Amino acid sequence: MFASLKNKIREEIGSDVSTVVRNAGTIRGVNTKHLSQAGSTSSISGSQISLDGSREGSSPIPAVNLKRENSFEVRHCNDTQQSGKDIRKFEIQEDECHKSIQKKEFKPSKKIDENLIVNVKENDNERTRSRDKERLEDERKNIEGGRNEKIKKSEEDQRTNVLDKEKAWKKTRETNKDKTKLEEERQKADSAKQTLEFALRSAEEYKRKLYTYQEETELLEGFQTQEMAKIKHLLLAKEQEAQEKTQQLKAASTEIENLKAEVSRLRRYEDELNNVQDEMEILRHSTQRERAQLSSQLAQTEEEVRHLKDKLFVLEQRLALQSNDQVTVDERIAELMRERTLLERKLEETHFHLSDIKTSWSGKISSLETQVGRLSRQAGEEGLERRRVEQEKEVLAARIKQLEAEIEVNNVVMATKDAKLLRMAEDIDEMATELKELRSNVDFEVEEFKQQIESSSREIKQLRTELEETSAKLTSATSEVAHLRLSFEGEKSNNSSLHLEVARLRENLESERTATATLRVCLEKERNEKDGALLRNAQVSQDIEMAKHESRRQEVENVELQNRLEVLEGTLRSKGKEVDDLSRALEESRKRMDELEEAERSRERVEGNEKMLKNSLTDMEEQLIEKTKTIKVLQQRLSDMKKTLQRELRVPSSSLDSDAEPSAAILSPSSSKTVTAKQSNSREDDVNFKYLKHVLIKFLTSREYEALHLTRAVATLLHFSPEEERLLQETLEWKMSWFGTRPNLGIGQTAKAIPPS
Amino acid sequence: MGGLLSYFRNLLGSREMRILILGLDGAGKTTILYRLQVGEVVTTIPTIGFNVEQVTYKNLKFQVWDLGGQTSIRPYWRCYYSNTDAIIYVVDSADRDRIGISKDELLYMLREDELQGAILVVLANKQDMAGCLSVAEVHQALGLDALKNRTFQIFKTSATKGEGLDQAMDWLSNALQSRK
Repeated sequence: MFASLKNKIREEIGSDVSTVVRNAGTIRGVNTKHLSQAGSTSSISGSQISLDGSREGSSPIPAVNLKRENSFEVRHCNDTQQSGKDIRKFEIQEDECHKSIQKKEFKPSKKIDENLIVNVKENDNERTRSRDKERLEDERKNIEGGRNEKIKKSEEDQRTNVLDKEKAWKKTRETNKDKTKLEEERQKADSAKQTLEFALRSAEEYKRKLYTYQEETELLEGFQTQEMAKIKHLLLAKEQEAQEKTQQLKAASTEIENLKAEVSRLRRYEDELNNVQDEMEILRHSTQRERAQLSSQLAQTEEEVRHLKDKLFVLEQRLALQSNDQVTVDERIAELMRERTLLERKLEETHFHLSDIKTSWSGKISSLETQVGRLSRQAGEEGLERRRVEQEKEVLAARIKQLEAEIEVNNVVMATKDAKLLRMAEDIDEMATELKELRSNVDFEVEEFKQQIESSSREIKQLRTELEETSAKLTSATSEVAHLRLSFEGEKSNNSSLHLEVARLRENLESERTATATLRVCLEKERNEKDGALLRNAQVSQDIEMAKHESRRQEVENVELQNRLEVLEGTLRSKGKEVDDLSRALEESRKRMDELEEAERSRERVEGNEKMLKNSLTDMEEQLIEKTKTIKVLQQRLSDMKKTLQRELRVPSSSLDSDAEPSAAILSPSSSKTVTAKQSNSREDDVNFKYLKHVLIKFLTSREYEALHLTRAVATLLHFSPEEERLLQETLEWKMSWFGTRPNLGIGQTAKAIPPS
Repeated sequence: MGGLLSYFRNLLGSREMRILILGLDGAGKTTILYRLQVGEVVTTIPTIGFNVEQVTYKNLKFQVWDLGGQTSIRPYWRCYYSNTDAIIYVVDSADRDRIGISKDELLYMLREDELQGAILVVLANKQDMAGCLSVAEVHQALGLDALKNRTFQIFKTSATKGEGLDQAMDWLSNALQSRK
């Protein structure tokens, strides 16, 4: 049964069951690996479409399935962007699928029920048929019993009936067949349903997996966004920091550059300043020194001049004494005595001078000491000489070494000579061998050349002489060697002599030292001599002359220095001028600055004044506005008051007027007004007149109800008496009322209204 | 005939409320009247005289009298005071100079015997203008604190924009109904 069913299903849908199963498998595959399934899914959809075609449109579920698959596809195309909407759609589709399955289940059952009903009916038909048959038999019996024409007719009728019934029976049989067919269909549907359920389960599985995957993706996305935000935040912070840093750096660099520029600018000035200051210092020092020297020299020269004058005076006196011989001895004696005293005084003065000179000598001593220093320097120079000598010694030692090297060379030459000697000996040996050969030859040729023996002997002799020569050479060589040995010894002696020379030089040095010592002694001696020389005046005078020379020279120098000083002073002055100019310029600029500042201050003051004035102006304006406002208000109030006053004044007067002229009530207020307030305000009258006109028109055109309200206004406007007003009111009320009496309006000339006709 | 109609009206019990709109000239009385009647802003000229309109608000009928507010015709206001149920006093909030005059007129009016039972509604009009007085300032300027034995309320309105009028009419209709 099942096999047949399967076969049938296979016949109907071809390989669709297997494909469906496979599809389920592929869906699972899609679940496991979501990517790059578009091709396979499309193939699935194709097969599904073919299935639809074979199913004759009686299966909506595959279509739904197809749709769902398509939705999967879409979802995979969109990759991970699956929203809840899709899921909901998916769920809806699932529900639809369920519903359709249920419907599918329901439909076959319905059909089956119908079939059952048909079957039951068929059974009934059979029963009726059997009954009919019975009846037919009865009738037959009846026919057999009766056999009349009527019966025949009825028989025919019966036959037709039977035929009909048979037809019906056939029909029922057909329906039976249909039923079996439907059952088969149902089974098919069942199988289809199973497959679909399977697909559904797989789809549900897929859905679950999808949910989990989505959750995971959402979680990941959340993390990603969080991290991204963090990173962005950090990045922004860093960028801000970097910007700040760069700004700071820029500011610092600009500052540094400024400072550098300033420094470079100032350095030039610094150098100049230093130079100028140095020059100034040098000049100051030199001038001071020179001034001090000049003053001391001047003092010395003055002293000398004075001394010479004194001398001159004494000598003149003496000359005078010598010129007049007639004076007495006593006088002469007295004069001599005087001279003596004078000379004694002079002596004392000279003593004084001497003491002075002594003090001055100390300077000399110092100069001598400087000489000593010079001598010591000379000694140092001598030391230098000594050093030079030592250097010479070293040079000599070097020479000795050279000589030694030469000796060695000579030795080598000697060795070569020895070698030569050996070679010669070898030659001798060779010659001996030759000789031997010759002897052998001689011996060999003795017999043949007996005559040649002598020559050969001569040759031998010659050879012997040669031998002797060589021996002589040998001896000469040996003598040469001896000579060389001698020269070597000479060199050695030379060396010793050089040593001696060095020793001698050392001795010289020592002698020099002793000389210096002696010189020192001499120095002391000279000092002693100096002491002795102190007593000598001539030397002093010489010294004085020398000093004069020196002073002259110094004067020249002084002049030169003064010139230089003047030049320098000139430069100084020019500098000073420049400085003055600069200071003046500075002062001028300062003045200008002051002026400008003053101008600024004055401007500010002026501005302040202006502001104050403006403020005061605005204040004044405000006050003015306020005042004008108050004035306006007051004026308005005044006008109001005036009007009220006029009104108050007018009311009694008009009432009086109305009493006097009640008939001319309408015109009286206007006339009175024209009389009273013509001059004051015609505009107001105009307004009043307009008002009156308006109110009156309204009063006349309005209904009684409104008019009743206007009576007062009319009465006021037209200055009615209370009586007239009351009359008007009563008349209106009468008009309004349905019943009621007409008010008394008077009769005759005093009547207020037109009498009723 | 009109009297007949009014009589019927009286019989039916829907008596019209008589309301006066008062205030200085240029305060916006006529504009308010026609705003209440037709619900839109009409171009007005200075009222020399008066305007009377039937206004129905929430099934209440009002006969609203808008009296001209010019200085020369202000004295005639008192001619209309009898049988008045309510007074709508309109103040120009932007006219700071004449608020004093407005106050004087109001106090002068309220002293009338015929108006002792009337409900007072003060409308601080022209609130849409720049630099206008606030409701509290108008309240203070008119000396409304000193009012006693008077059912009154102040509202800020803008007749041209139609603001505040509904509140005022709501309050007024409620007050009139509760008084009955």
